[in-house]
Amino acid sequence: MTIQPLNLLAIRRNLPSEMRSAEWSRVPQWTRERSFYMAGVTRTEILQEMRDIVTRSASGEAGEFELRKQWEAALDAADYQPEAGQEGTIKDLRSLRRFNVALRTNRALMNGWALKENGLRPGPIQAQPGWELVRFREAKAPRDWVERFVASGGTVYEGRLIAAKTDIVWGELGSVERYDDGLGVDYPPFAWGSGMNLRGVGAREMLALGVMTREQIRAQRQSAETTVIASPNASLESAPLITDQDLRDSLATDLGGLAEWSGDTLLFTDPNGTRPTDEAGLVSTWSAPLPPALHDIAPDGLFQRQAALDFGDDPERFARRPDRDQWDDLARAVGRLADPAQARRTMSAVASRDDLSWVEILTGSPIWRDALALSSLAQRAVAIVSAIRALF
Amino acid sequence: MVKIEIAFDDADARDLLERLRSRLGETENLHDAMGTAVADTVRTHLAAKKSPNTGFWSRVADSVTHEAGADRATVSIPATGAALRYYGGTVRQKPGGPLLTIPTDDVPVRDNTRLAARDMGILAYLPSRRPATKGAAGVLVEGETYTTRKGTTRTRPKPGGKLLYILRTMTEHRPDPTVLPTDLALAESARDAALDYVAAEL
Repeated sequence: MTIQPLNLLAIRRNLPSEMRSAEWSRVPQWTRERSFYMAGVTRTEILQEMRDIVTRSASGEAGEFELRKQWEAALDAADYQPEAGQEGTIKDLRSLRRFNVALRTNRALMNGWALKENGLRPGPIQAQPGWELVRFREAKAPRDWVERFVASGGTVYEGRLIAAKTDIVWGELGSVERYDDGLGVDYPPFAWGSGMNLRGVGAREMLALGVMTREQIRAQRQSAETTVIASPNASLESAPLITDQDLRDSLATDLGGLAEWSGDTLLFTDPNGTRPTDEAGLVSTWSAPLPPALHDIAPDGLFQRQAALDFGDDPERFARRPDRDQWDDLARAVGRLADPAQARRTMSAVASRDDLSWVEILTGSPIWRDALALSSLAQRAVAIVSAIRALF
Repeated sequence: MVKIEIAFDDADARDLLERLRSRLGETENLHDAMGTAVADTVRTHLAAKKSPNTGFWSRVADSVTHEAGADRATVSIPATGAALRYYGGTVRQKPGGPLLTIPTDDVPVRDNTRLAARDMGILAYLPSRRPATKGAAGVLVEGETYTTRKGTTRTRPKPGGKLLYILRTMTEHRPDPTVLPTDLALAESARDAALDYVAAEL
């Protein structure tokens, strides 16, 4: 059976979660391919709406204009409001950019996955044993894909970026460890917003260019017939739907216990989540090492702790940064120490940068000076957060 | 009479023929390979079409897929709008629905999307003199608000404002056979895939 892009959606389970793109990208491909998620979206009904929109788009049922109207109507019905200070940004689910990124990235990944899986089937892999990396869409600021291809272990043949279909170069091209914009997949579009794609290269051309020998082509075909490909393709044939429990268990393992299920929602509680805690608990959380999948996200995966420390270093420079992520991290951290009933209001108040008069009051206070004097990073960060919380 | 006897060790050749017979008997695999190659040709052809602002054709190209069976392979292009451009046709306003809103080149593109009228701020509606003649119902131009003597706020065309949208009850589209590669190009890609399929066994 030829694989269709919608097959990928069919085996995915909805996963409402607080996790952001950087965190999701570190979850292994197996788990991600089985999860339907949007960064930072915890509401099941909103996630389901985007899933429905992606399905309608992939099946050719409706165009983007109509689908955006559907999305806006659903957000209205859900009484969705963006967080303070995030209106119109990519974090605002109502923004055109967020809608386009969610829909187009999902669709591109589904198409890329089906392309790869079908290309690895016995017939196509025999006739076309290679892929060529080609540009399908012009970019205003194109990335240097030749450099990436070579750095990922690929060889350039007569100016063309060609390799065997089972070459590791394809996985390296989308690697999140290697590239900040990597999508963590071994198929197009490889990186966020990339216009790159794959085209099959025939056996005779692969031989003529010297990319593969006849024996390698045969071995690759035999491997395609006998190897269980580590992707949803295998599940499609052996177990049509993985259970929620499978996915939950898998994510729990991937995230080293740092995620917690609250009903149907995966809350990325520690160290970057919103779970209420006290100062001692936060110091403990921010002192513990992260699981291997997450610890290498720059600078060290501890977003909230880093935001607090950066704020402590220079509040005014921090306030001028265009990156809203750090403000959100700081606001989340402050919210965790607040009275749970007031946490959301406190978070919104800190996240909004409309009125920063509190920064001057803060930096003039003795509690602030005491906080900066602490040498332990975790203790200093928590003391900074605590000092901010005291003002709200 | 001289006789020369030649002993053939044709095990390799017989093995090759056996493998070829076996491979060619796997018709679904062969058709899968041919379908993949034809789909590749269609995708490459579509991706070469220019839509620098919106990336429309690259999304159409990306959507190409195929299905293979024992007696055929089918290539599909599910992306919305591709069939209309290839086959042509008439698009009509939905009964009771809004008019079709056709953006002009003066409508800005943001994030590969030509902005919708509702994202464009104040617009003024100028009806067609002969409503709905050949589908033309009016236009939307850049507008501005003003206050009447009675204190009512109204909208009017902005002096020197641009024409942004054409409103129609219907649009007609001619078939465009160049949306797809020629039949010859498609047949060649299928044939090449079949030859590659065999060549890999030689």
